Amino acid sequence: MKTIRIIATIAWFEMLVLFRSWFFRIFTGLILLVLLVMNINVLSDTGGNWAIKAIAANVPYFNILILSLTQAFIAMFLALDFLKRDKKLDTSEVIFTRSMSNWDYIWGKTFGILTVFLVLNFLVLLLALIINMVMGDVSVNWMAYLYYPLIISIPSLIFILGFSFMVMSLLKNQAIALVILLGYTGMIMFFGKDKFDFIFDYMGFRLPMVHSDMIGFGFEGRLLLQRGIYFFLGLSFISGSILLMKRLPQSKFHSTISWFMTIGLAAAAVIGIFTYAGTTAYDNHFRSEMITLNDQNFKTPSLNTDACDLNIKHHGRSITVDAKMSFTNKTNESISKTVFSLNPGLKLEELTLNGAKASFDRKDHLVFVTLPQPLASGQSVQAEFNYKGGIDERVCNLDIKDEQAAEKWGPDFLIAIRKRFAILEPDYVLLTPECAWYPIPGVLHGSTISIHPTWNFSTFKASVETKTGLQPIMQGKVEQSGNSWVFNPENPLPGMTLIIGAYKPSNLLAGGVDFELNIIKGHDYFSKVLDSISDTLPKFVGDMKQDLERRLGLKYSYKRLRLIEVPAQFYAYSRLWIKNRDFLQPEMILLPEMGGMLSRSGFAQELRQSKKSAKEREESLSEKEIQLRVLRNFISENFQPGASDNRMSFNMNGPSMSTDTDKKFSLFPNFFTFVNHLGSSQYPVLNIALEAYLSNSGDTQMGGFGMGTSGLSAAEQANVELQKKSFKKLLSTDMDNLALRQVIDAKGKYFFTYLEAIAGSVDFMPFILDEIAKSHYKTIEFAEFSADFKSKFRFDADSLANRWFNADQLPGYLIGHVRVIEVQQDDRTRYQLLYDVSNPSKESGLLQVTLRAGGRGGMGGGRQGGGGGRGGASFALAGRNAATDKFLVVPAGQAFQIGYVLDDQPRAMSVNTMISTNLPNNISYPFPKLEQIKGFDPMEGQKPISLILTMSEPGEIVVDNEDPGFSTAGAATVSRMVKWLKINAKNPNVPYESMRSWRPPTFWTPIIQSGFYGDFIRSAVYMKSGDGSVSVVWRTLIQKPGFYDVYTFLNPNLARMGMRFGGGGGGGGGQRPQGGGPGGAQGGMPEIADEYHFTIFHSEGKEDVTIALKSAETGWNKLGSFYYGGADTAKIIMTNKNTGKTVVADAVKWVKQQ
Amino acid sequence: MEIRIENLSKIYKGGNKAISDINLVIEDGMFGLLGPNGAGKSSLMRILVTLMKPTSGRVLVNGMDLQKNRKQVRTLLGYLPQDFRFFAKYRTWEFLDYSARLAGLKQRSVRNKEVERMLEQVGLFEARDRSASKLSGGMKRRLGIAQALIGDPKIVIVDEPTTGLDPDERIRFRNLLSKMTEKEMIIILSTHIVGDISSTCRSMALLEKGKLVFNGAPDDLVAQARGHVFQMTVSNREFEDVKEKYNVISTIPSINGWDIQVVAQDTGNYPSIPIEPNLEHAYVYFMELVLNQPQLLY
Repeated sequence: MKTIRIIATIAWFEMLVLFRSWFFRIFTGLILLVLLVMNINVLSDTGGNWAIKAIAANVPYFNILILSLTQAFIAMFLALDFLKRDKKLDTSEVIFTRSMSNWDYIWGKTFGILTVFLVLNFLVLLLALIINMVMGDVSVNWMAYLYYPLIISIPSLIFILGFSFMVMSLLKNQAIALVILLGYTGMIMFFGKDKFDFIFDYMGFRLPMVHSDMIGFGFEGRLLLQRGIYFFLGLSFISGSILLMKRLPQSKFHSTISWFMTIGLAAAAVIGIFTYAGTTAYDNHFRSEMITLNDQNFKTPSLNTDACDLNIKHHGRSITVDAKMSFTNKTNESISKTVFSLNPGLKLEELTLNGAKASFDRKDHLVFVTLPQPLASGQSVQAEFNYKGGIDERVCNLDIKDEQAAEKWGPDFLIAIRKRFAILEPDYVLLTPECAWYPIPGVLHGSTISIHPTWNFSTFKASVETKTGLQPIMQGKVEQSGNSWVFNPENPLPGMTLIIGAYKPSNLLAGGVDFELNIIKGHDYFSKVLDSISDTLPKFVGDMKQDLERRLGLKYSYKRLRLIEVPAQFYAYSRLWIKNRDFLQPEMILLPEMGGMLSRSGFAQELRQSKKSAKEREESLSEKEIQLRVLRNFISENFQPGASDNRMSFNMNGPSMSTDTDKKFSLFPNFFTFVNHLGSSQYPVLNIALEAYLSNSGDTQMGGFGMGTSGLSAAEQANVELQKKSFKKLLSTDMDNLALRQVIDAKGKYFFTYLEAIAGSVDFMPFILDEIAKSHYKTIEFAEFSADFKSKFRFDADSLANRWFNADQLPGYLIGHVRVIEVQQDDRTRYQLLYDVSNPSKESGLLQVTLRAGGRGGMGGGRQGGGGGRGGASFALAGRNAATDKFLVVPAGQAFQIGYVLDDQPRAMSVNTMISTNLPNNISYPFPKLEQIKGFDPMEGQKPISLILTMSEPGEIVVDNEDPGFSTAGAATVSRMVKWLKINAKNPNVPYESMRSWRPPTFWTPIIQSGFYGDFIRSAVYMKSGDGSVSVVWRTLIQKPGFYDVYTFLNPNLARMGMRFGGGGGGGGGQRPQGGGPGGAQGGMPEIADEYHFTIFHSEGKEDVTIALKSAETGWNKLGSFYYGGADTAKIIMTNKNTGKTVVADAVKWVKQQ
Repeated sequence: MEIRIENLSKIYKGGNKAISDINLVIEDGMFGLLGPNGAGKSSLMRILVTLMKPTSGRVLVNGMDLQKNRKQVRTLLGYLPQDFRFFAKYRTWEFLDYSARLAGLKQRSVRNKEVERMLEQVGLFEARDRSASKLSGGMKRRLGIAQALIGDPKIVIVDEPTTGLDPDERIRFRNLLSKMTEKEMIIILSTHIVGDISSTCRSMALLEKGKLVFNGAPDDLVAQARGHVFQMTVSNREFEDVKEKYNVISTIPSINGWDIQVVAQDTGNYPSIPIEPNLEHAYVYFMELVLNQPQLLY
């Protein structure tokens, strides 16, 4: 009792001191103010963030998260301060002579500080609660107001207090202790945040703790262990500091307890750490083991599932399944031993083959079966698998690399959701084929893209028993009798999904499809909001479905679409081998809880916003029309394939690009992926190539925003990679998934676009749609596809595929002599566009030429059109404009003059060089002047010309920055700190960076631009302007004596762009400013003060020439005429001296005077 | 109450001997611990208030070994350290309340009464709501003695309480201490100001360089100095010589030169009148003559 009284006394008086400290008061005021603003911002009825609001528990979560981060620092200061105060204050000695133990004293102080922070937590939560209650859209999750402070704040505070006490007790110096604590925290926040599954995250700052109404945190055990580690460690440190306290102890009992606590709790924490980290390490090991097993066994012949009848009983955290399956040997060989994949958590109890018990070997997730007698090609076998157990989630996503797996999943930069891939709980089940919850022939994912689960279409049937109150959902027609449910899919499926939960289905028949919405009780947040559209909904949804079918050119072939709300934690990665995320299942969309991670799903606020903007635009819309608009926006933004929701995110390490660039909930798989499959053992990525072509998945511009990331678009990046290795080799290289996906998408689109170019767009579309339609619910082999193509278009697609897959060189194009001539034809004025294209490489290639006609201002700005680019929601089959987009196959080693006769005057042309050595791969050609030639005979088509090998004209000596005659000299002075922190350091993995005017590099950095000079690579180098100490040098050997005109290639528009550069255009050609478009770039450009300084060395000495960019031309600008005596090394130097922000150095040329 | 100090020594890290082999018995009443700065008084005090461990020897409080029974001994203690200036942010009454709670006064009503009584006793009642850190030096010292006395301690240890106080405050403080002697308790007053002891203590000890050099009643110390304190009148010229030879303890200018008091074995050729020594004289006598000539030590 006495101890408690003393602890309470000390705590009380410590609290008094802290409450009176201005430091604490100011901090409290600030944090409350910040959180007030943030809460209003996030929870606001109109501008709020539904992604956060959707889950009511997120309100206290994000408040506590922000508080936790800041309070850790403040607690650190206060903890150190109290120990320092004890040392400094005379009154401490007076207190120390009182009869109390050191235990009483330290615990008293700890509780004092802790109470103060708990009061602060209380205030913060109260504030959040009030706003939570006032802002109408969000319900209140009362329990969350209790458990978030308990699992986030308390362990963090205990740990940081204990750790601070300990460090201070040992070091006895507040300043050093503070540096160590801040350093430690900083290190964890920046480097160790997600290592070993967030084990170092003592503040719980990155730990994914979104709480689902359906499955809670989704990893309660590990979460408690992680928080427990810090709680115990903190208590151990506090006890330890009791022992280290500089006051003579008076209670043996308390000293003994302190010893026990210090050692015991530290031991518990260490055991916790080892358990936690050990599990993580073991999980990783187990995953690698499974991957290795798959690698080793993927050549083991596997069967095809014809039919699968699953009898499932769900009880608690396990399922018991009786799977009656029939398999066929579709290989050409007879099979005596085969392999199946089954989740390692499921124990296979019995296997019968053709009614007889069969033996099997189990290794992790693989079931090896020796067939009683060899199964000849084409023969079938009946099998029955009896298995039961839990689900081991580790088997999921074996193809996903660590960096992709580590990517945060959450509604904003702060809040994180634990990713779950399979759930088997007493009250909730979500099992997709990814977790192999039923036997899948063959292996799962291996270390390369060619090793993945087999994709075949089977006839499924399932019956499910579960406890009362829960509803199972699977594919197919459903019949219920008591607690038993039977599912009968009408069509063969690539896999089956089992979901069980307390769902309440509601149906809507629209466009011949049964749309079934399954949400859990209390989660219908939209019916009341969208209350005026129920009568028009069937037609509206039917129309949207039709629209989608029209845009994709593909039919929705299922009878139903089940929209199922799944726990917030359920996550599905985009994959390399197939264009599908598991959010989409055959005839199903798995929607994140309360629409939280969907776009524009906060209907109430969307409605308010729509009304507001309608009012602002003076649109007179009925309530119903506005509601339909909101719904349309929601559907098109989430489910319509096409536009990428590629996100640039900011985290502690600065900007980063998500590796998942495809739309997460695109319905595309339900139109193609789950219905068709283009199989090829030779070219394992042909199916995804076709998917890329059909869905036109993106050529996204990387970098931009001047953030020092790559200056290359996805397709250009792919080209850079493909110059190093063939596509085949690249696929087996251990490169990052994002880069690989870019290559696959670019190559995929290229292959089918090539075929399209061969066949002609008009004929190709019906052909490919026909091929798709005739192979519904089965795999069409590429050989068959190729044969069809050959018979129709007399072109060997297989041979193209061979080059496409195996060639280790790329085509490269030189395009020039672009002219537009006004011609008279049939009494009307038409326009002849002419240009030369040459492919001096050893590979044939495909170009896409896009013409811009009419309009004003041509092609200025950052947005660039072209079928290859992403001009908003464009689709491969529907988005192209045959009148302006032309495809051109240029065979290896050939050159042509191309002519188009056009009705409208073309303003600009852009050429997408697709897969080639050209950089950038979108080149703009402005048409500055219209030629008028009387009697000109217009030409439509192409005629051979002699091969062009360089862009330079005869008699010119050009030295470009890519040439050996170009070099850089000198180095700018960089501070040690900048060097040490690697600010502005060159990224060796990025051959060309994006140009940035903010913090430009202090060394010459290569950039590419359509408006630069170059044969295959239109590049230049640029750097921050300086004092002239750094320079570039162009050198060449001039053989013929005489006077030469000397020119340099300049792009003044770039400097103008640079002045206002910072975001650039969206989509399309990307954020790279297109300096090559003077047609549209002249008017309204800002004045530029840039002056470049050249020194020209010639036979008679040297001459300094200054060129003011404001009066320079885009293109070649004359520096002067100089005499060269023959066999002279001519040299031109340009320094980084400039009055503008940056200096760009490109090419120079010497032209002999006639 | 009895404090028995046996063979107590304290050697700091680095070999500095703060106190050396001290034997002393302290009983109820005011006990003066006198000695120049650095004599070891504070070290002894800190050992007595359990803030520091002795290197050897022991202290028995009513027969209980101090080191083994810190818990019990601390319940008997009240302590006012030498420096008592820096406070956390407490009001005057809060600080006393804090001390009262730690001293074991559980009941709020009792505690409040006691806090008020103490505030009145030390004359801080008017300043009770003032922040303790904003009190004047004398007031802080009074608050210090109040917190030391609250909760009815049996041993009060006061280290250099009057240093730095103005004469009024000093007298006020001495009176406060004198009042305490009426109770059955030990008050140990450590000081280098002789006046503090002469006005309050019935027994005392003298420390010099860590050693106990005198232990007894102040009168005993005075008795030793009897016959060694002289009143003299000297000319200016003689004054310089006298200063060289003797310990001059007071000088008053006169018409012919100086009226001075000296402590000496004898005054030689200078005419002088022996006068009755006080404790201050005795202290000088003891420190300057007896300790410098160890053969004179009894």
